[in-house]
Amino acid sequence: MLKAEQILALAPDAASAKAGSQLAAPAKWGTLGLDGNAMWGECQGSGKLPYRTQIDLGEPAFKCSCPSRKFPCKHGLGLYLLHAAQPTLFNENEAPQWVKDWLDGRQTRREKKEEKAADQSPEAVAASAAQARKREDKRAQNIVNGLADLQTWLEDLAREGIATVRERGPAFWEGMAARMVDAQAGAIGNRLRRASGLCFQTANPDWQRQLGSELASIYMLCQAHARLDALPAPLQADVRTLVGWSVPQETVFAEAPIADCWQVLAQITEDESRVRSRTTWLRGAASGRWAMLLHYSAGGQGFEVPLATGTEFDGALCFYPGAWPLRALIKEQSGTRPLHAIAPAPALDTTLDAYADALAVQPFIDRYPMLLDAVAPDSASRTSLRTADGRLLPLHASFRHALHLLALSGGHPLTVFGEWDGVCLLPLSVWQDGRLFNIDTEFNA
Amino acid sequence: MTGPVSPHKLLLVGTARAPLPAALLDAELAGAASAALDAPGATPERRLWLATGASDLWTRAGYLPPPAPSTQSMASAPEQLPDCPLAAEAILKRLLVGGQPASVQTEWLTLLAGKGARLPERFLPNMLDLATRQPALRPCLRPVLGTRAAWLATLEPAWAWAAGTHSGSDNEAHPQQAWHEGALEQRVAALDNWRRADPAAARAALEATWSSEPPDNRLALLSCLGTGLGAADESFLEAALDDRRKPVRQAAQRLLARLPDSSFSQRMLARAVPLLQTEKRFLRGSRLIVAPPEERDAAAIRDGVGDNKYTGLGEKAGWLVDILAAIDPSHWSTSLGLSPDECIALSAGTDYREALLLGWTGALQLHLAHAATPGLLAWLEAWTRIWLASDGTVRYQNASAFVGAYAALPAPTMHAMLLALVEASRMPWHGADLPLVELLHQLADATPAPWPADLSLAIARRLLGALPALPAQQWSFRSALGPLATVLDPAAVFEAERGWPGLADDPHGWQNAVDQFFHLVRFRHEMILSFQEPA
Repeated sequence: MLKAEQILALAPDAASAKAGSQLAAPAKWGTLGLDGNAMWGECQGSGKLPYRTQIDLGEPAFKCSCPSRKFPCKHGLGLYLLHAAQPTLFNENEAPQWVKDWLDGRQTRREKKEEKAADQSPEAVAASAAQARKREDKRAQNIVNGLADLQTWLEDLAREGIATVRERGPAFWEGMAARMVDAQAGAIGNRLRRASGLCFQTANPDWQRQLGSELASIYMLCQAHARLDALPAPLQADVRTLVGWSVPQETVFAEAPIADCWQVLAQITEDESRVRSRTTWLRGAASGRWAMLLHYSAGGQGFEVPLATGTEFDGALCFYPGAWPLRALIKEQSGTRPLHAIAPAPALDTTLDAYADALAVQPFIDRYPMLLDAVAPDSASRTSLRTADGRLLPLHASFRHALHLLALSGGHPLTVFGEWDGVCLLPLSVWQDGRLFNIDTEFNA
Repeated sequence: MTGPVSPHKLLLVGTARAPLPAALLDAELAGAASAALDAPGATPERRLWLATGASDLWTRAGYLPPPAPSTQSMASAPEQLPDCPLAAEAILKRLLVGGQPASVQTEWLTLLAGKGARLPERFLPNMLDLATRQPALRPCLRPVLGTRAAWLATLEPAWAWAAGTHSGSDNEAHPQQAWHEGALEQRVAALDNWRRADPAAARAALEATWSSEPPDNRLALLSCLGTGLGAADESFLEAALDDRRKPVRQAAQRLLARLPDSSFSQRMLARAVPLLQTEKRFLRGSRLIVAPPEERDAAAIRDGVGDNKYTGLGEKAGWLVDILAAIDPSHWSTSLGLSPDECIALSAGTDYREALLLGWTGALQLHLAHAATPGLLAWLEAWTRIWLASDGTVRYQNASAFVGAYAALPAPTMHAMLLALVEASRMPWHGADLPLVELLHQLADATPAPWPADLSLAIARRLLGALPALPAQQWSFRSALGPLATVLDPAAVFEAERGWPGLADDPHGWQNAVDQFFHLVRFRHEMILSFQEPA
């Protein structure tokens, strides 16, 4: 069972959160009940029949008969919030038929998914595989041509020097980014667009070095792609992903699942042209292993998989293939509950060594999860963390919550989780006195 | 010996302008990268990109954090106030997201102060920012700023007002120090506290610095003399009547008017006595005769007569208002031998009704803030009866001072008077109760929440009962719902809701407004409960 704050964090947007909390009133609901798996209730809306709202408590998952396209809808949030505020209103009951139908349906779909692969006839499988291969070959050729153009473009840039690149304006970048999209290497196109943004950040004194590094990394990626077959197989997978090939979920789920108690340590949501992306950082309580989950949502809908920071769940993750597997999918999830403790972080030097080892096998890692115990934000500069053994770790220039971090620490040490890029740390959450503060959502800007 | 030039520098200039040196990388790295870098046919541009990439990786993989400077800044001392309850903290988060009236934030802060607890650390930057923009919030914020907040405020220049001012700090023990060294706001608070403890010493301290205080300080500091005001303050205040700035002079006038034996009050009374007289007429009752002042001498100008402009009133009527506003209205009921109701009723028969009402209401507001004597309360009650029965023009013209008079009362007295008014009104209300609803609306905006349960219940019953039958054009009722939802006691509203049949088929479209009303009341209910949980 989640707390009100964690429930509100599941809302797709502020309007849903507000509407949900308005609906967390006993007068709005009838036939409230719950059993070990689910809770349910009927909410009188503007229609003739009340909406039937139900929550599968394991993940949690929401279902409602209302026509809203937001997910979870305000009724689902309202029901869960009402339970958080007044649990005595919910009687232990046998689930009504409509709840049972849904839960059974979910179970069947889960089973069907697993059977599906075995269902098709061998001929059909072979035919569609051949078709797919043909499409892939065509795309591969497109990418090879596109990357060759990109390399030439970058070499021209190195000849001119990047000191004057600002003067060429955004169109210079946009043209090449569009060329990458045409070449079906959209991921690189996105990186070029982001890199071009650096040119126009007048407040960033370090933009030339950062731009140079990012473009050098892209150049190395082109280089790696050109000799893909010579790379170790796991790194091939990384390079393919980085140029824009997507990995089908079936491939990921075919990897051996890794079971642990997964702790949700941080989450950030970013808006990028009509699509919201959400990065969730997990750490295995027993293994200390890191995992990153990416979810996308479009058109103002919520994310399909609700995951609240400061919770943990028992489950199994499957990792995307790669030389240093990090991105994962949830294969099984149950028993979501608030987080009470996290395992201590390794010593700073151990962590930095591990980072070097990771770069050695996968040189393209850009977001490296880093947990630091006993660091204190530096009140004088506000741009670094002071470690227990008296060293300074610089904070990312885009970090906007230095004062919040100082407020929380008061100059005393605390535990910080963030993304390390080899140069500076972007803090994403803070663990203090048994509480996790997710900076993106729990420090008001 | 110096190493090779950083590839980043070469990249800035470009290979067209600066030829590449033979050694692009440190010897150690160059060995590892030579296979790619020195491959046959590698163009300078290609070598430069690869060198940049290799050097970046090399730097990132080998990063070692530099030692921190040994000058360690002071960490904050342990807190003395207990934690804010978790549930209340969650409520504050929702308040900071916005969407609730600002007064709910104030109520939250007051509840926290009532609990004796402190603000949660993670919201300190937001709350300090908020109160930096809205100074009116600071008095509510101060009691809940812990040691951490005082420490944090020293790090940000804009928060200096909060630095070192947390409750339980030395400021209360050593007011002199804050008085001498603090920012204006801290000095005002220190002087106020000092006045409470030792009015004479505090005034002497103000007199000592008075001539060197800038005008804005003078106004803020002079108002502190309202605390512990006494006859001993008169000579200082009298001297302040000659200040160069009008707001300072007016503050001194208001304070002196509250001292009935002051020379200022006596001068005003002497000016006032000839202005109003009664004439007893055979069989036709009394008549009030008003003779506005014909001229004002230098002394009257010094005392502020004519300082204010009143729209719609002539110059001399304005002088009349200024003089009346300084004098305790009970004076008139005694000297004219008329009850307050009669005084107000007779004003209708004169040519100066507006001026009389404005003057008396201003005086009520001024003197009620000082002491709610029975004579003044009788005037307020009389005024209320007239006000509720008047047309919109009279109510509109006198609204601010009239509502101010109520708001100036001690809260229990105000609540008791409102309860009597509401209970005397019909249940449920209908359109004719609009003036009372307007009064409650304005007091809901002007006075702190929550109102007591009995008053809240009486209001909620009449209000809810009225809604189904009210036509949609009752904007006054509609606009009063929001403000009332911020002050009524939530439990009492729920009690009124229990016996309420609802809006039925809601022919006049009240549902939305009523939903918002209950949403806010429920939110405040949750907020109040959230403070009852242990921290």
